[in-house]
Amino acid sequence: MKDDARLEQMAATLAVDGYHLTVEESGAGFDVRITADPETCGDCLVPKKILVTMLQPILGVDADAIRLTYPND
Amino acid sequence: MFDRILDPTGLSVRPAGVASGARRLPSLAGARVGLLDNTKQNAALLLAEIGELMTSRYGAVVTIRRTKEMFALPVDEPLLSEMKTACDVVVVGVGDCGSCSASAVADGITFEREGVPAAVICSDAFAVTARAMAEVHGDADFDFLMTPHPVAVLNPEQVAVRAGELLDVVVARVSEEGR
Repeated sequence: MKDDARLEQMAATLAVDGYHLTVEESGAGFDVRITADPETCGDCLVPKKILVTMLQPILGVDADAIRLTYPND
Repeated sequence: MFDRILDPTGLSVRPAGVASGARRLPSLAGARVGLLDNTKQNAALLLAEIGELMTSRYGAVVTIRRTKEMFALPVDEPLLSEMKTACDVVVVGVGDCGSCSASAVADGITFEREGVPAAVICSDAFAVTARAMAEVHGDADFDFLMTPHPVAVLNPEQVAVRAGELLDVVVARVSEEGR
């Protein structure tokens, strides 16, 4: 089950660096998109595989159910 | 801006799923302290101030100061080897963004697994990523230290105040003193 409180915490943390998190349910999984403000530090975002690992317990699904899009994808 | 995404974990070269936890020093008197600056603004100054306080108040000696090549990358093997040889405890900081807080925690866990007590300093805005990285490394309870966000904008006097505020928790993190 999706943990909305932890998801909000993750979104708030990303926002400190100028990143914005949106999550949409899609079938049995989730479409997760990260967007960035202009001039955001490109090195301040953790790699995809790590963010997916972080999101698994929050979204309550396995990694293959998380489709993650980063700003320069 | 997004030419590459760096991996702050080092998971490709280190096993996960092993709890960290080096033995704490009974006292800091004469202890060799290593400072690992991750290049974030004010990190070097904050660590230097903490090192001076550990020296003047607890009798420790700062024996090695090193700067990571990139804040988002984990400490590499040569640097890890050099530092664990040159110091008894290490202070790592400052986790003041998403990837560098994750990387700092990864570094702290690595030092602990190598037998070096580590105090990792992160700003509180990144507690979520720091904790998540600890979980990724199989050490969900890894005890990093937090200071209010932001650190980067502080002036030198404010950094010195932060160092004073952090001193006791840093000491308690790496030794039995102050516990």
